[in-house]
Amino acid sequence: MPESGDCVLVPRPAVAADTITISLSDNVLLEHAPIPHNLGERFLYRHLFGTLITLDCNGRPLPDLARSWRSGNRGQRWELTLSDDAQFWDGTRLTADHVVNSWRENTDVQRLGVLPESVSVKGDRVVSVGFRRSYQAVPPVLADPAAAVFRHTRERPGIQGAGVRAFDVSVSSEMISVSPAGHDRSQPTLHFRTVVQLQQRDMIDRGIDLLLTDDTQVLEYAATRVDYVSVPLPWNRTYVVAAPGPVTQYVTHDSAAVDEPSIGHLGVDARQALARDAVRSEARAAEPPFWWEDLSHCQVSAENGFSYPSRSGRAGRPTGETDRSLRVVYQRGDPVGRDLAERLVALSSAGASEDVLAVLRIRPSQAESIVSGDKRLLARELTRDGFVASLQAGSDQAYVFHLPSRPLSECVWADDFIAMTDWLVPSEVSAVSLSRIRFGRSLTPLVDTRSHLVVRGNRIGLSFGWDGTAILHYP
Amino acid sequence: MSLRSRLMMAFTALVVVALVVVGIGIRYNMGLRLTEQFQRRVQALALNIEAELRSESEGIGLTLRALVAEMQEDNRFRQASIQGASSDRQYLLDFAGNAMRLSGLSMLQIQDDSGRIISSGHFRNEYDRREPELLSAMRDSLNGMALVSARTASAPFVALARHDVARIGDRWFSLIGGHSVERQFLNGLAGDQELAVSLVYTDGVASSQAELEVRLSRAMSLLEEEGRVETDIDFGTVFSDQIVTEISLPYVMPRGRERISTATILVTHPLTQLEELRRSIDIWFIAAIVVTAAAALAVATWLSSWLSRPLAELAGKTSIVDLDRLDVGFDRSLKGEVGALSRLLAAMTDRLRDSVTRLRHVERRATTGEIARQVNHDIKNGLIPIRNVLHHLQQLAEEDQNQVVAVLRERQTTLNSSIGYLENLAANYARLYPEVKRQSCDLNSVIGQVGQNVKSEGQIQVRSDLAERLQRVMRDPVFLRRIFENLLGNAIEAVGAGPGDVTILTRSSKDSSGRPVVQTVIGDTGPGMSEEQLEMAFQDFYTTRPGGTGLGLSVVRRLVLDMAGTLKVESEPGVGTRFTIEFPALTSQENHEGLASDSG
Repeated sequence: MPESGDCVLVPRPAVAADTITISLSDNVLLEHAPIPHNLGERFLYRHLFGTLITLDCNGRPLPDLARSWRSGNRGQRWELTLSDDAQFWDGTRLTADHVVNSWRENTDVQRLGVLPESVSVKGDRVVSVGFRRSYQAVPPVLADPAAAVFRHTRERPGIQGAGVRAFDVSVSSEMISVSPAGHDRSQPTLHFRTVVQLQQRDMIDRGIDLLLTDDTQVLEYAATRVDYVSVPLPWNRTYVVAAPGPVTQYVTHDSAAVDEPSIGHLGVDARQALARDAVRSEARAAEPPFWWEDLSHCQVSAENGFSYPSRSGRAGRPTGETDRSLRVVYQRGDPVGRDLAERLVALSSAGASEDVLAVLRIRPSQAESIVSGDKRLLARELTRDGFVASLQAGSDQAYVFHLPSRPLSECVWADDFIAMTDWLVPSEVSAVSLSRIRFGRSLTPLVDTRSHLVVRGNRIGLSFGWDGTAILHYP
Repeated sequence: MSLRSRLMMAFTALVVVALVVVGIGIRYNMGLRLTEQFQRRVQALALNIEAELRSESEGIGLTLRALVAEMQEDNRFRQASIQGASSDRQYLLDFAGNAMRLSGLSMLQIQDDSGRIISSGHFRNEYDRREPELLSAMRDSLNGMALVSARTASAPFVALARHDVARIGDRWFSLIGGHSVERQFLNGLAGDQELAVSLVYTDGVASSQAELEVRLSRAMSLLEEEGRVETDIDFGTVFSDQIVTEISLPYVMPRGRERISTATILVTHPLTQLEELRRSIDIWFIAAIVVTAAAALAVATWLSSWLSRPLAELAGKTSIVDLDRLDVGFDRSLKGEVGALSRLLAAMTDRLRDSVTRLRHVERRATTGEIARQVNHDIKNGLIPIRNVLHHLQQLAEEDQNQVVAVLRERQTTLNSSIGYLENLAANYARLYPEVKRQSCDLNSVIGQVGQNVKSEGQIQVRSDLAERLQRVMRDPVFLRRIFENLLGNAIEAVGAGPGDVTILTRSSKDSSGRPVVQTVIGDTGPGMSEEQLEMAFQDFYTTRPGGTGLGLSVVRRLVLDMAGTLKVESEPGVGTRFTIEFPALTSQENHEGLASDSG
């Protein structure tokens, strides 16, 4: 796979290693594929589930399963020709039908936003995809992991991704092993091991080749080892807090822009304090510009047939929890989200500044009740599905989650976010001009975070992609 | 109400009342003893809990003392807390959390001398909050131990806490640490599944038993609505189904930390076990009452039946005794009061029978007198012509002897006529009441002779069922013959032209006294008799047949009684009539002697 020079983290080694053992701190499951639930899965899936294109660290599209592409219909329709090497893990040659079936048959709701509006087969190796938006270059959303090509199988592990090489993938309780099929010795066998945070230092002591972590104490320990080098990945996650409420401005076909009262914004000092004290991972104050604050280039209009899919359903509260409690929620398995939510709750409970209260959309009367103890403000962990459902309904006071610092397509993200939330745009509005929506009034940036790669010796080359995900390279 | 009913009611009531008294007594005593036992257990556990809390508090104190030493020796803590080294800021913030995990505490908060939280183990991101009131409240608490509402990001919890202070450099730091008093802790205090330990404090409740926690929570909500939560709560009233003992502890409220209220640890033992036992006893008790009542009823029924049946039989027999029905037998072999009564009745019947015999004799004598007068009259009537002839002849002999022969010849007819009349009269009287001549008789033979002379007409079937080797009787064969002729003739006449059956049956049997008798039954399928007819059937000159004398059955009854036999008649209109005659049978020895005398 080609990589741009400025995207290289660790140069390719001269000699290939037979086996590379990689430690991931998150709980990694193939069942989630192709949509990663955490950084570990994002790293793993990046190497197992190929997409039609990839983006290098500068956002330049690179061939992956597709070797070439061309546009038509003013950038709304694109034809991509599959690479001759494209194949499933078992060596089955990838065809255009496979791509179409993969997208049509696996209609996970979280894939809908990034998948093309229409797709058709133009030949054995040519796929034609259509989008609601027009793109000057090949649509970057095709590099989204959710747009990966895969198929379900009856044999273990039950799923097969596609790439330019064949793999043998085996799953055990301790690791996922990916070995080159047949007599291919051009790449090593990869062992992906999942370990809990406390055992990551043990893995270093055991001589692991690569460790993906954001634990500062692990990094401190790695720094004491001369045989290991710590490589920081880009700041690729920006944690925000979203307090449900309508956007400050929107337009409809027949009404003028409506202004809503502005909510607060945390200053840089407050963000720095959060990054320094509240978050136990490596963090910094979220740095502007924040892409969601300027979506002026994401023009859409109803005349183009653009409409947001309706959503329904409301997230319920856990049994036994009183309705008087206000909740700042975060996703399970997100320690940074937990730290931030807890700090926001602590600040509010202690009589926080107006900025914090405004960010959480807590009214002064509510704030007094919280401080006096008459009303509770809680930080609460929700499952991934529960979090999504609650965010959709806007049933909680605030949501702490992270956004990609550099999304593949901010316009698609905005479309998805509007479609997903019932509270952002009133239901009677069928078309929204994203340029008029000030997401910044609902999304308050808090901190940026990044991960590190702890690498042993000169056994493997590393680069990173547009979304900050590390990519392995071999001689 | 009958004797049987009274007996049954009395017997059943007696048994049930006794059972109820026993059941209530058991129930009361069991309740009393179990309640006392439960109270002792609750109080023992309360004492144990107080000791446990003291021990726990001392343990927390020792832990805090050790942490103080650790803080004083820890250079990074010193640098971060005293010198404000930003590089060790995270270390300071995580210090309480790490110390808490190592020491096993559930709550640990470190404040600087201004009351600012510099590190919190249970709520890591609570740092920089000022809360001097907490330390102040802890100082005011009893023995330095208090329940504290500890804030966390997700939900507050109650901890049994103590405090300590550490001097580092010129600054004082306070540590407030403790153990969570959650269900697990309360479970540990309870130790026993039957006993529950609950905590009631101003802001909530917790219990070792989830069900009790829900109840407590509801009760407290109710009290809160009534505005009574601040007053002393009588938990014994709130939990009337529990045995309750209370232990009070100071509680530092989350709002306005300077204020200390009282938390109550409740040790409870449910009375459900007692109630279950009571219910179980009630069920078994009811079952016992039902079974016993049924048994008592059955016994009472049997007993009353056993008592009343012979009395009823005696009453039945007594009711049919009259001067014409003295053949009723009363069992003399019965024992007890009923036996005595039976014997009395038998003796009374015997006396009646003797009296009747004497009466009959008197009647007979009276009748004989009548007959004698009649005979006298008749004889006089017969003798008067003779006396007149003789008187005439005597006159002629004195006056004119020559006329005697002629007159005698002339009056010869008169004399012959009178003599004939007297002879006829004598013959007639001789036939009127023959003399009883007892001898050993075979009833089958007598019946056979009678049967030969009986002529049946029409469709009448005469059937005989004569027992073989029938015992003999010592009776007058002529009388017997007259009896059977009369009865058999009556039976055939009763059936009339038929169709119908006349049956003759002989058999050996025993009377009510157990003595051997020979029984003869003559029955017919004639029209039968009504009760009125039956009552008059044995009266003289009563007849239902045209041309009948009305003396047949009267004579039969007299002949039977004269021969010390018994006669019983059963009749039902439309079904028929059956006569049963019993004569004492000869014993084998008597029989042998009888046969010998016959042959001799």
